[in-house]
Amino acid sequence: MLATRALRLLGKRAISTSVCVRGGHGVAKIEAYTLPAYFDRRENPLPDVCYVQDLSAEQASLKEKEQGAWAALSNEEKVALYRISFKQSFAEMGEGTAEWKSVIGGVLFVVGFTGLIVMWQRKYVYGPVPHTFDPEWKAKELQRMLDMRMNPVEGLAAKWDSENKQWKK
Amino acid sequence: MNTLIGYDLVPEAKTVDSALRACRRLNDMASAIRILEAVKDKAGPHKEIYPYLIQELQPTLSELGISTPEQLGMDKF
Repeated sequence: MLATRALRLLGKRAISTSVCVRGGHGVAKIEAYTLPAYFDRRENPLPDVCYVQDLSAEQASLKEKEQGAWAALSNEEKVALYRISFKQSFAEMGEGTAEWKSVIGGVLFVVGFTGLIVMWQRKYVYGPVPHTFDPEWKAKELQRMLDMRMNPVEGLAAKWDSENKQWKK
Repeated sequence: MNTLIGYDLVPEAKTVDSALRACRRLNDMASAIRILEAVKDKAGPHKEIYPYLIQELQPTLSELGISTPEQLGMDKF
């Protein structure tokens, strides 16, 4: 009673019947995310709302027909009624998407891009490799290892034929 | 109904029968078909349960004029 009196002072606003006006600010806007949502899940077969909220004219007339005997509905009409209330049937819910292709593609793309970054880094960021990597140095290193008979039983020197000065066949 | 599907069981024919009649009272044919789909899904790998249920429910289905998802071609995609 008081609320409607206060409303008349504030000016006419359209409100639903059971809302109170606080401090002259009017009615809070109802956000879409606070309302019951529709979702297709196997474990929740009957969601809180129908999939199609705003019915077209023929859908509305179909809904009228639903009030009567269901045996009078044709198969197409039954499917249409189902599609008004639900988005996907159980069979359609279960089938996979092709999303994995995008995922694999994206991953490979990012890996390739990283490879480019690494190559650029090797060329422009890092300095030269130490002189001990030169082929001549490496050859002398190997000779030294053979001379001191490194791993003579099963490893390096075992494979070297020291009489003929070549690798064992 | 969602709670019933949440349980680890396939509902009896009597229970599904009552649910279908409730759909008829509410003039909601889509939910009736959805319930049949859900019950089939609940049976999981035990493929013999759903045909048995449909066999038990056949009188009710004919009486109320409900088609099974198979008759409407909704079990394929």
